[in-house]
Amino acid sequence: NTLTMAYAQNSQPVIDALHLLADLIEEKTDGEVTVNIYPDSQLGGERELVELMQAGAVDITKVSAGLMDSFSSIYGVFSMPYLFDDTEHFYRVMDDPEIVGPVFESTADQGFVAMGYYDSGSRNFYMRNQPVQTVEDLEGKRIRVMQSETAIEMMQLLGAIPVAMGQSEVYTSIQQGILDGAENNEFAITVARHGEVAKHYSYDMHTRIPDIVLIGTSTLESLTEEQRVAVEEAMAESIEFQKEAWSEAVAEARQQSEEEFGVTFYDVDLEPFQEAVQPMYEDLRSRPAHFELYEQIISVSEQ
Amino acid sequence: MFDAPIILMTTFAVLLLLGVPIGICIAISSLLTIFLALPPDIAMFTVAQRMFSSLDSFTLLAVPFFILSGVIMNMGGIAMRLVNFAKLITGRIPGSLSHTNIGGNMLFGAISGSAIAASTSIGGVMVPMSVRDGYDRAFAAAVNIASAPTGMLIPPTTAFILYALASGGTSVAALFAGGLVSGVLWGLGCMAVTFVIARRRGYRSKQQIEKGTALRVIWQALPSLCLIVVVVGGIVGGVFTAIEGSAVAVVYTAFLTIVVYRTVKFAHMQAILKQTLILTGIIMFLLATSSAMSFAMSITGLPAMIRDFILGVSENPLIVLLIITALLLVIGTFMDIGPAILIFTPILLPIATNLGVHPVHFGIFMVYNLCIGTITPPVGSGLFVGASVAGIRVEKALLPLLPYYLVIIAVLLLITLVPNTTLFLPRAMGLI
Amino acid sequence: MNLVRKPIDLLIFWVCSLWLLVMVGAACWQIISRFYFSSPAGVTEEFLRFSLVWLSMIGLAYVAGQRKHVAFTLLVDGTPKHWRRYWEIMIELTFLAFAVYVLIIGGLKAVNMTMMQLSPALRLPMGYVYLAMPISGGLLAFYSLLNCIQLFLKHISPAPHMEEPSQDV
Ligand code: NA
Ligand code: NA
Repeated sequence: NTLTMAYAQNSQPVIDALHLLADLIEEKTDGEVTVNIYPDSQLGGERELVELMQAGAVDITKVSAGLMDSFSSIYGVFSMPYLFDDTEHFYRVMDDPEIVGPVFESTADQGFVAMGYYDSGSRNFYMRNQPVQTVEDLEGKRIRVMQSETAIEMMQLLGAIPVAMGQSEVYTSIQQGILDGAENNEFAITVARHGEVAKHYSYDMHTRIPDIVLIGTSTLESLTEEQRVAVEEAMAESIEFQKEAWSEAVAEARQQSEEEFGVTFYDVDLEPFQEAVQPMYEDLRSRPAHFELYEQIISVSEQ
Repeated sequence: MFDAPIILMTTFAVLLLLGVPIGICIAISSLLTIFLALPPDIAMFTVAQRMFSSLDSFTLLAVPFFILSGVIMNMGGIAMRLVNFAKLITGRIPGSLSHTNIGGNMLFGAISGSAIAASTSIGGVMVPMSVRDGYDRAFAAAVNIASAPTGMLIPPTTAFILYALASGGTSVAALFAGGLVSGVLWGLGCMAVTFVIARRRGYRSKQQIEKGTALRVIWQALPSLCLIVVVVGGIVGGVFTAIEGSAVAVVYTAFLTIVVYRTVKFAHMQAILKQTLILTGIIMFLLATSSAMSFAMSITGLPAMIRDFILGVSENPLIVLLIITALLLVIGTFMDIGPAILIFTPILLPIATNLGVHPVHFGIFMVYNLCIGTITPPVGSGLFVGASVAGIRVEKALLPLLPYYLVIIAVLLLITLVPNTTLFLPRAMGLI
Repeated sequence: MNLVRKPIDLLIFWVCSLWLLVMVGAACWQIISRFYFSSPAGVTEEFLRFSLVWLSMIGLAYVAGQRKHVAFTLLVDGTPKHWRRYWEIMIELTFLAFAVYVLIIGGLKAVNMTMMQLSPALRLPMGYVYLAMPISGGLLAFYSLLNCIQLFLKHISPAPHMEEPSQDV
């Protein structure tokens, strides 16, 4: 039995974790199940990869929970701003099968389910001219957002003007001044080189949107009971590996940002930001399933 | 080992020679190749999906919009006024209109970053004008096609941003600086060839514009020149993106010809829209099916084959770079530039850096190579679009393109073999 | 036969033309709205992308109806007119095959699969956007069959590519 794994553009820790997952699946099934990998968008972007999975051409892939919102709106909760207190809280939620289990199964009728998640860090504002230190600093600023209702609404509540555009246009748009800033994790500064045009990075940690590892339901059915257990174990091990690899890589990226790009990092007082987006949580009440997931998430918060 | 590419190229060539429309040739040969890897029903789905996702692109909006504004400019006399102005400036230099086309492509391509936007907007105006001034249509088309990719090398450009990302963080600023040099060299090479050919064929302005009429020419061209100021100024000033600028161009040209010059009447509208629709249909069909070809190559395992192949050949950096050149030229033939950068950078860059090649040098070299692929037969978006806007068949453009291919390749060899050609500027600026 | 072709041609032409003008307006609106209102620009961006898919797909069927798609005809140009007519019918059949297998069968599979997938900004089921593929396929199949019949009945010339499309007016 040979499985097809395909992924789009990714940071190194995620790539390493996916390759480890493939190796572990082969190892734990004593070679009964092998994995054939198509890296680096060879088969398309994340949306195309999910569709290929639905069609049966791809068995395992990894996409952002932001995209998963298109397939099952419950994933949208993970994109809510200031949802997690910190990395510990995020891990506690994502490692809790009672909380994420139903979410992961929610796409079963569409031919695929999630079998795990990877950390993709926190998204923070980085600006061209002045740092974001208070909510007022965002007033009237044009900030690039991902194509997502939640992201756009959050930006409006914070007083900024959301501009939805593709990731590859961000560098020149900041350079030309079409954008005042953008928001992303630290790799945007180093790997995507936005540190060349934006020097002020503020840790408001507005979102922690996980990456989701998907597997086809027909793929799961094609596996024996032992093989399925082996795949689950492999997934669990690769998740633990990825957490370590991610935090090391982020620490390196931060150091590189300061030394090589001269980027300044700012810590901000979060409370005014959290207050500004409260209307989004009020609106969430009208969607019971979403609100329930939200309550579960905050119930394991330690603050 | 290379059975998938062989099937792909053979079926494509046979269908092409039989006179089957090129879009169908690409779609069917890709479909047959995908059959090697996937069951038939899934293969059919993937071709449809590929076509869909390539059209689902904000950048490509520039195609119908610039075609529309170009047709309006031609029919409404804006183009004529601009050309008279260009003649006034360039005077009796042999091939002055072609030089204007090249310069326009470099400038507009630089701003928009899109070879397709440049060759539809600039070429759509300059080629018909050149023909009216006595230039051979195929030659005018070749000039436009050959110089269109310069905009993908002259910053700002998405290709280098993708490369920076795929290479794990090469300096974008350094790539931009080096890319500028390579793009300008490409453009100057095209101008040199144009100069020689135009002088031999006697492509000169027939009459010198006299002093007295010069002012009138400038006065008449003024509102039309404002188009350039509005579109270019708006983009550079951060008011709108280059793609949105294409819509502004439509509104401005429509306003100018309908309200100011009153050269476009309601009766002309149908002809304008019909021509736009047909050109859009032709070009988008080719762009959409070409994207299926990229997928066919990936799913049948070509990237891995190429990696194994290069690693097995040689240790000499020069030979490896030349082999990579040859491969990239072929890859550029059946892959879009964006996917090719994302897929092949992780494969080829480690091989090159192991041999001591600088990542910035390699990035410029790679993008330059892939740019050539967009204007070479059998499949090339720049070639298709340029031939379509010029209203000639693809094969007719090939002969006049030949000298341009030669000079473009000569520049490629220069930047490959003498790394300092492109690296001196980023070094001088302290970027690397 | 032209009684069938004409109305369809006109319908496609006017729908696509008006749509194109709406797209120009939407793109301008996107610029204005970004400056003066903090409106969700993602909506127009998505509308424009999806419109481009529809415009292109319907447009390519329309162009096939006009037999204006580019081809390499150097080798077949020399064949006698009589044979050329049957050859062109074969070529129309490749359009039909493409329309049926890729656009209709492949496209319908995509439509069915993506009905539950919502677009990020408009929250539109992607299946409706993908519908451009089978609809374009239907129109393409219609035109290629019509071209076959009219070629066979000698209503239309076998060599549409012979004359260069005129650019200058
Ligand atoms: Na450019
Ligand atoms: Na090519």
